[in-house]
Amino acid sequence: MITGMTDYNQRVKRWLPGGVHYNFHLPWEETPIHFLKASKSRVTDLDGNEYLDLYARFGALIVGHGHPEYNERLKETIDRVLSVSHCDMDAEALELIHRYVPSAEMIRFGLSGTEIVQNALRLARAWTGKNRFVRFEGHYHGNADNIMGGRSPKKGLPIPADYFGDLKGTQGRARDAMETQSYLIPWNDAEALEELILHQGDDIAAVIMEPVCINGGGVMPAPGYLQRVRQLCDNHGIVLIFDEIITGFRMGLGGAQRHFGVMPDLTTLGKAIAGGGVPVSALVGKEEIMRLLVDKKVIHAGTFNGYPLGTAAVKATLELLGQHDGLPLAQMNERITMIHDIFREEASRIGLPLVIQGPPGCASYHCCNKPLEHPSEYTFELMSLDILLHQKLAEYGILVSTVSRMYPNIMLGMEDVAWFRERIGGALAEAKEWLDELA
Amino acid sequence: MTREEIEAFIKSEIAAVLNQQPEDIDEGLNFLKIGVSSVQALKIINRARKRLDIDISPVALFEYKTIADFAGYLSDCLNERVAE
Repeated sequence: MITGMTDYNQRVKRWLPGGVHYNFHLPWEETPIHFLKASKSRVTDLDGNEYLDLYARFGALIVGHGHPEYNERLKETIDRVLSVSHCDMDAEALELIHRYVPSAEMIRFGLSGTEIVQNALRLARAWTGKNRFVRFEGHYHGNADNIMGGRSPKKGLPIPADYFGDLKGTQGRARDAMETQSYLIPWNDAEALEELILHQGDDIAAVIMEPVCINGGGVMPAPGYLQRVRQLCDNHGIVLIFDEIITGFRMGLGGAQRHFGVMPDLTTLGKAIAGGGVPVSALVGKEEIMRLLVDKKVIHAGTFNGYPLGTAAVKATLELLGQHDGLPLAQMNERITMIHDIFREEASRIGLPLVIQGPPGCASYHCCNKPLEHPSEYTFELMSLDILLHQKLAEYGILVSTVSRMYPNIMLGMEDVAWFRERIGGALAEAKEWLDELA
Repeated sequence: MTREEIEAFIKSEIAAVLNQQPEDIDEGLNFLKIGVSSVQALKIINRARKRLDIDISPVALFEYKTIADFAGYLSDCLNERVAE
């Protein structure tokens, strides 16, 4: 018998390590919230508490909870063609991705962001005949051994290594997986990249980045930075990979690449691509590179790749987002921008420093006066403040994603804006007391 | 600082917050459950971080919830920095 969420989690914890499904949860929650039901932008937990859901399953949920058309499409697929390798919705889903994502000359589906990033790196290695890839501080590309966490030394080649205190570090990493495969350098610093490529470009197969550093606090690329990176990659025969798993359909249907007018060679997509109800990732890119898969020179495999439910979800999601020339996304952005404005106004009234930065569909708040220009500016002190505000928001019925990200969905309504307006003042006032105490 | 010294430092800080004697603080307890607020805990950890001159995330506070665990974590970080 369920006697409340804490008891329920204890029951779960008996079998599930830590009582959570993944390690990048919100560790300051004493008990993970188990939800009983969800509708549009609201979720209700086992204890009957209702929240505005700006957590949105790490940003995957873009159609909203219980979207009738999306759900109907999934139900229809379950009843009609649940488990086959290729189905009658493949062409439509592929054509939609091609239509919206500029670099999508060819497309392959996967299930997770982690695996699709590894497939992108494999393709880049095969295409260039080189081994290493360059990644950037504050960016996240999945939990594989060769790409998660680490820190480069202050002097010498930027070869990352594990260090104590790294929350994205892990025991059990295959020996030298990170050290032999990647370089890790600061982002938004074209000179750092140029310097590295000039000296090590002969062994660099790929440069991979989030085109907007969402995982580093919603940091936008400096003017001209992406263009300069593109140019450096072109000049040195390096594959440019944009990880648009978050920005892909949250920064407009064409992602960051359309927004900034910079075309990567390969792009990884995921999360919101399938609406948020089922897992789908995608590797898209230049036909000449993707042809390595046609010739089977590069292997890409997976039992559930292109599964009908996922394909139906991609088709339904992109059709929904693209309705009326992208009106649902425009409306979503308009409403979350109202929430951002209210957030700023209330913070200002209360005297709490607050900036909201990043694209509206995946913006982050920070308790400071000036937007971050580099992920390294996300200091201990600032993250502490953001965590404290996060806790207060949750107490007042507003859930945001780690650490301070706010993910809207297309069912976000004016009633949700009103919900936020009613609660944010109290949350901020209490947070202000905490923050003053911390200062 | 040794692990024991780090643990003693955290215990003395917590004791000051709770108006108790350090020897009365049980290092095996979750310090967020013995009357230390999130803010107070973050302040203590920030002071320890500055004193040890190590690079950690505040999220660690919530990952290593007992004084003993957190002291061990800080000690590992410190040892690595010394090794560098």
